[in-house]
Amino acid sequence: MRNAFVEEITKISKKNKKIVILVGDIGYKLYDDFKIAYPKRFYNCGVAEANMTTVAAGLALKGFKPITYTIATFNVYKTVEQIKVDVAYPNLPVIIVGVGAGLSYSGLGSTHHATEDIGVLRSIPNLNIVVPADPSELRSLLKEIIKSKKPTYLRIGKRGEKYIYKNIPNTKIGKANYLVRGKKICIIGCGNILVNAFYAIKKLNKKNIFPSLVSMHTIKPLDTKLLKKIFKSYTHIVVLEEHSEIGGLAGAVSEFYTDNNYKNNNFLKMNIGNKFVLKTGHQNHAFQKLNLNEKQIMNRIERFIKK
Amino acid sequence: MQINRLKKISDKVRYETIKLIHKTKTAHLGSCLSCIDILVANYFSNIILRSNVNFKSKLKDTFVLSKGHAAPALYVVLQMKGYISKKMLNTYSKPNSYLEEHPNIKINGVLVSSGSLGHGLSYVAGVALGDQINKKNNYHVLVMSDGECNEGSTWEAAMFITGKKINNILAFIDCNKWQATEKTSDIMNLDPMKQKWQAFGWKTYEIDGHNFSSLINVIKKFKKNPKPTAVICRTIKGKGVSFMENDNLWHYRSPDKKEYLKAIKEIGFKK
Repeated sequence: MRNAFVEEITKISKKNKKIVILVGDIGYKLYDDFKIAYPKRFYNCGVAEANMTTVAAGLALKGFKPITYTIATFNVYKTVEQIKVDVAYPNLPVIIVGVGAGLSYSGLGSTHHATEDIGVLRSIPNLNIVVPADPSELRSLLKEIIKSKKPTYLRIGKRGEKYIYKNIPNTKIGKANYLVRGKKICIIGCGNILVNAFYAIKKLNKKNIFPSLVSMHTIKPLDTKLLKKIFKSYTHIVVLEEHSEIGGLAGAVSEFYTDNNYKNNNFLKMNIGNKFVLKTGHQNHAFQKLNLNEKQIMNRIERFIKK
Repeated sequence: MQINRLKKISDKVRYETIKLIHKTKTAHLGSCLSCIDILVANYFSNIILRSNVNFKSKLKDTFVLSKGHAAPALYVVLQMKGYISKKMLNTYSKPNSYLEEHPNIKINGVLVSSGSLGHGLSYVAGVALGDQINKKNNYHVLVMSDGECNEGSTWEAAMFITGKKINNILAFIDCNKWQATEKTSDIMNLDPMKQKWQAFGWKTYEIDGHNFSSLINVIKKFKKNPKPTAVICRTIKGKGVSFMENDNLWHYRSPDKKEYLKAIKEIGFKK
């Protein structure tokens, strides 16, 4: 996903001369093409994320469209006050990119797991939160984010993610995308982990179970229009995310649900729970440990539908 | 001549600030009084900050009060310079007013909403970097507190600015020796302040922050050679009012009627 991000932003920056990239000493050789093409618009800010975030805000005051880029944990937890006070409060068009979302860096240990970032940021006013499902959705959303001119947290994976979309889709901030249309059961999810559900659905179809799959790529603002329809049309709702059970997509969906006094749906939340994830090895092992791999998702949905 | 004029303006700013804080029973008078001469030297000497400072729709020269808790003093200056009206100044800390106890970006003449310490220098770094990309020469002045140098982000910004060779930044550090609850030297090892900034690659001066000829001298030198410059201003918290000077009580306390009258009398004003 990060390669798709860099390729796309390099392309966009040819026309959009206001884009400036700030990185926190990450992405070895990743930005070589960008640096050669736009040497005045790339700055390695070192391992000093708080400063990087506020520098971005200062550039935005000068009319630039700055992007800060580093590992999601560092770009959120070390900078949350800068994001609140310097970016979101004055409503400046800074894009904060968190790379290695969720358990992408599983093997590096909990210091590198970005599994609370959505929860941490979701309560900050003015800030949009965007979590693309695959590299194609990311390419499309990136253009929309730049157009939106809003402070945005963009949560992306690492590399080698599988594709769900065959082509680059049309996207709109705050408007979710249907990936699979089925009936009775609807999986609402965000991020890389949607791939697991996508393939789980293929297996479920063979068992005559036809879940829908929705990429809720914008966590904020939430696509409440579509949620309303989903709550009416489906009896069983699954919320899937590579995030803590607290504060993420499940939190956002639940808040909307209770705010509107819905009551006729069954819910299954699939996430990493409320814990530090230890001794995992690769991301796939982490998924297995957390009951989130393709097969486990399939089994859990099969059991859920019998309720 | 210039010095006497600035002194007079400074007295007036002190008087108006004390009055504002007394009327509204708000805090941070001591912190205002220590930096008023620095504000006046910058805003009224017409050396680098002239008109249209922090003109947001076409940003050129900027001023950031990074120690945002001295907002009342800044508001008085902004009123005297015509950025805000007298009527607006009198809405300070009242409901429906953007003139909160820390500066708000919504106020004409205020560039950033400061108040959380350790952000100002990074903000200025970003703005000045923007100028560097655009190949423009504008001046960027900020006033920080010594307590603010507790913040790691201040030093991140200090390294970043000289590391990226960003010029045109003039930082005044209002070293009044006190922070909210204790003497700065009893909390952290801040000194030697000048050498610290020097070690980070900054051009440094150490001056009496209440001496206008020293302040003007530094501003003039910076104008000639606008490398990142840190001015360690040795100041007195509560400067100008004998019973407030060096007494940290006045970080939070606002003067009652009797104290107010005594204070303004000392700086040559009547009710």
